[in-house]
Order: sequence, then structure tokens, then C-alpha cells
Amino acid sequence: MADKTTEKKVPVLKAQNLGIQFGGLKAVDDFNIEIGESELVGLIGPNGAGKTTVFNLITGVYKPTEGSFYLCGQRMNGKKTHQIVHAGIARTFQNIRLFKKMTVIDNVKAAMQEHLTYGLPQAIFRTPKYWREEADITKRAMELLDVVHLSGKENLEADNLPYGQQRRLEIARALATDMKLLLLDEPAAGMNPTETEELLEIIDYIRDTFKISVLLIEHDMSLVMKICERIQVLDFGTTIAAGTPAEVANNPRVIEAYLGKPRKEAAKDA
Amino acid sequence: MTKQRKLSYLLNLIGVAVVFAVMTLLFAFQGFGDSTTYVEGVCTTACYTIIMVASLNLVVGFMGEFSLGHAGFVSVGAYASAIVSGALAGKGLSDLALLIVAVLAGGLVAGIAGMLVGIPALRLRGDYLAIVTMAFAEIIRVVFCNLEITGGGRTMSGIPKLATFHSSFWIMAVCVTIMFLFVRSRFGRTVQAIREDYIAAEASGINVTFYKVMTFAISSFFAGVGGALYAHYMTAMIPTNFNFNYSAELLSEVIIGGTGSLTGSVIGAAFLSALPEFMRQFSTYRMLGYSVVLVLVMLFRPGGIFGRWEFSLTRLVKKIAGRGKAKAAAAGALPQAAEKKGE
Repeated sequence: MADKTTEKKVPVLKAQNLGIQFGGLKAVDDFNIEIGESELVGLIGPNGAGKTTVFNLITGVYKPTEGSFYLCGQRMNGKKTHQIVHAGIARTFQNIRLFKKMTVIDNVKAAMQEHLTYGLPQAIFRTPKYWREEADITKRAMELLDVVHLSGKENLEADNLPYGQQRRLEIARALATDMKLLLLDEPAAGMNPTETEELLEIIDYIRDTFKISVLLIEHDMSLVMKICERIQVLDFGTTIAAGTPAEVANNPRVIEAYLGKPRKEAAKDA
Repeated sequence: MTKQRKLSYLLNLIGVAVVFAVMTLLFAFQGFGDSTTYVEGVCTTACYTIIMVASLNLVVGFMGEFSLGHAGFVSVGAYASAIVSGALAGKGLSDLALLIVAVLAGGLVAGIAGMLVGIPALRLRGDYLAIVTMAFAEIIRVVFCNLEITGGGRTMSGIPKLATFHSSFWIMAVCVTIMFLFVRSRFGRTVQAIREDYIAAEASGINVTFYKVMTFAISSFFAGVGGALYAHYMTAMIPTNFNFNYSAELLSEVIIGGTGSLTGSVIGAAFLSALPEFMRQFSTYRMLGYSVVLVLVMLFRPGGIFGRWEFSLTRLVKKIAGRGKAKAAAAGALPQAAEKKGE
């Protein structure tokens, strides 16, 4: 299957018939997606549609019961989360998960496993390699904090940051893993319009600078419509629509999923 | 930068040496009158207790997992080292060399035991892990009760008395320094990230299981070192010494000192291992007093006396020096230097 994709440009992420079943419940069924380089794709759907489950599948938190997914043509099924991260998929969380009692910069540094190769003896004897690598990642972490407009806050405890900044710190931490694909789970949730605007700028900026692809879950429709190149809509675990923002917005099935059917039809179904 | 670093190392070395010198002089010139030998004994006890408590703090404080079986690893170290020193005694090694070999052997065997226990046990978290570690410690104890080589359930005696205050102090200083350097490296950062949020840690590319087992093994290694000193100071021991009570005692010292503060472990262990001894004059009431102290600390300082704060000699000296000089010079100073602590 992977051979077919190598002919043309290999998509950064490709999912084929991806699905997971919890007992009798098909949380996600027959999920297909292709994301190219530097592409920004939105994943939307009503509550409980299975969006976060898709993220959990792609990041290896859940093992797919059906189908498979590829990162740059490499099959990722069954790999552990940290292996997938090393391969190049990083994420943020719907409910912020920072290392709360650590400093802002340590939050970013903790995600830089790949950059650090010094071993235990080198750490204990504080060899030049230790100092060099630590200095390197400190510098890099500062740069990433600058990207998400958090410079000057590096020594604060992450817990003490305001909400919007915590969200941005999560993005910086994800960036620190050197990924090719960034999964953002409702990055604008709970943000005010100014903060959302700033977030949009940051997302644009990191796409341009780091040449990464983004898959975004978001409920803020204005945001999704504004920045996504393509949108995929999930409802009850299945894809009900996919296309450009304009196409999706006018799709009757999407409108139905969000606003419901006329009352009579709904009663019939129930 | 490098110069500052070297200065800071030197400063800490001097700090530890000064503490050592003061103690040694006090003992040499009978600073505590008739009870000098006794106080020296208490201090030696404190030294190896510090190693055990600090090592437990790696798991409880920095990794955020409860272990109720630390005494099990202490006993592994104690017995392993006693067997090694028993086998090597009279082979022409000096006392100090023999002690170092025994201590390393005790640490290594305990570290391997920690790894073996950790691989299955660390799949669990929180309360479940606490219970499993407790069970493993009991298993270790029962095994020692039934092994020929450890003297079965009888007292294993006749262990050469190799550990003195001097050697214990320096071994303690080295161990605490290594643990401190471990915590202030990528390993410590990783382990703390796991404590804060293991899901996010995994999602940041951290192999959570690997680092947990590694930390547990290192913690067990130092527990074994502490146990080795115990064995070679006490010269006799029985498996029931290392029962659940002993684990609980070590854990309470970690918590009183401050989970996630090695300073806290050092002070907490020193203080709490000395406290029951110095309260002996109240005879039966001393354990009551000990309990009251524990309750009070938990009421007023739930995070332990030191919380997560670490003492830094470099910072202190800078502060004192900075008062004389202009404040501007201190503005950019980050407490980046690695500190050693010795108490």
C-alpha cells in the first residue's frame, strides 16, 4: 500500500480505514485522511463525534482495531506514543496538560529528548558534553518560547501562567519534539478574541518557519473557516463531509449534524 | 562561566569539608563530654539514614510514586555487602578498600533487585504501586529468613565493623552529590515531567516506563549503599529489622523533610534519626513526642519542612557577598550552578 504513495509526493500523514471499537461501540470508523506538507487541515464535529479519539489513535494512545496510518509513508500502527513522537507527530491536549510545577523553560526542555545524548555517567561527572548539550537545548528552548511569545517568562512556574499563555506553552513544548505533524486539540478553547488572534498568528508563523503540517480540532468555527485549507467533519465516528471550508459550510449533512434535523424526522429516527 | 562553575564546586567541597572538620574535631576533643562516643554513633546512623531517605526521595519526591518497600532494598544491600565483605575479609584488603568494595557490591545487587522489581511493579501507579512495593519488600524479607547464606531467621553476626563516622560521612556526601547531579540533569527533568503528568510526558517523547524503572533502580542502588553501611556499622542484623515499619519510617522522613527536596531529605533524616535518641530521657514518652512532631509538621507544612526548596551554598555566598557590592551585579545571576550539599 505504501508503494502507491511513493510515486507522487508522500503525504505527511495518511490514514486508511482507521477505526477503533470499544466493546460494541465504534468510536471511530473508516477514517481516511491525507495531509500534505505544510498543510493545515481542520477536524470538526459535534461533541462526542470522535475527534479526540482520532488524535489518540494517531498518537498511539489507543491502538487502532482496524486500518492503518502512515507518517511520511512509514507505517505507525502499534507503535508506542513516545516512538510516534520521535517519528514526528506531536500534540497538544484539549484540557491543558503542562508540567505544572516545573518552570516554563523546563517544560520545553523536557520534550527535547532527541537533542540530548549524554548518558548517566556524563551527567554525574558533568562532562563537557553535558554542558554543551544543556547549553544547546537552553538556547533552543528560548527560541521556541520566543516563537510563542513567551520570552521573559522562562523561569516562572508553568502553573502560574495565565490560561492563554499555558496553551501557547503547550504548543512550544510540542514544537520542541521536532515534529513533522502537529496535532492541536482545541487550541483556542476558552480564549478571548485577542488571544485567539495571537494564536492564529503563531500557528501561521510556525507553519511557515518550521514547514510542518497541522491537524486541528476546533469548535470556534470562525477560526476554523479562516485558517484551515481543508476541513473534515466527523459525526458519530464517521466522516460525513470533507472539503474546503466553503464546501463544508454548505453541506446539508454538516448542518444537520450541528443543528439537528427538523423535528418530525428526528422523531421518526428515535 | 567555567570559572564560576569551578568556584562553585570548590565552595561546596569546602562547605562539606568544614562540616566534616567541625564534627571530627568535636568528636576528637570530647565535645559532647561523656556521651561523645554515643553522639558519634548517632551521627553515623544519621549518615546512612540520609542516604536511604534521599534515595527514597528520588522515587517519592521526584518521580511522584509511593514506595512502601524501600527497606527491602536496604536489606538486599545490607546482606549482599555483608556476604561480600565476609568472603573478602582477611585477603589483605585495607578496611577502607574492603568497605568500598562491600558498599558497591551492596548497591549493585540492590540496584539489580530494584530493576527486577521495578519492571513489573512500575506498570502500576499510586496506591497500587505502594501496595506492590510493600509486598515485594515482604517477599525479600521472607526470602532472607529462609536462605542459608544469610543465616536464615537468625541474626547474621560477625560482620566486620568497617564503617566509621568518617567513612560514612564521605560516602554519604558522595551519594547525595550524585543524586543531586542526577536530579539536575536531563534525567531529573524527565523524571519530574513524569511526576507532573505522565500522559503529557509520553506525548513529549519520553519513554515513561524506561525512566521510571531506571530511577527506581538508581534509588534502590543507593538504598543498598545505605544498607551496606548499616550492616558494617551494626555488625549484626536480622531480616525482621527491615520490616514494613522500617520502610514507613524512611517514608515519613522523606515526607517530613520535603518531597522533592534533597536538602529536606538530608536535614529530615539527620533530624529524625537523632530525635528519638535525644528524647531517650523521656523514656516511654519519646515515641509520643516523635509522633507529635510528625503530626505538627503535616498540619503546618503539608509539603514537608523544605517543600521543594534546595539549599545552595553558592547562592548563599553570593547573597552575602552581594550585599556589600552593588546590586546590579547580582541581577543577572541565575542559580544555575550545581550545588553539592553536605550536612
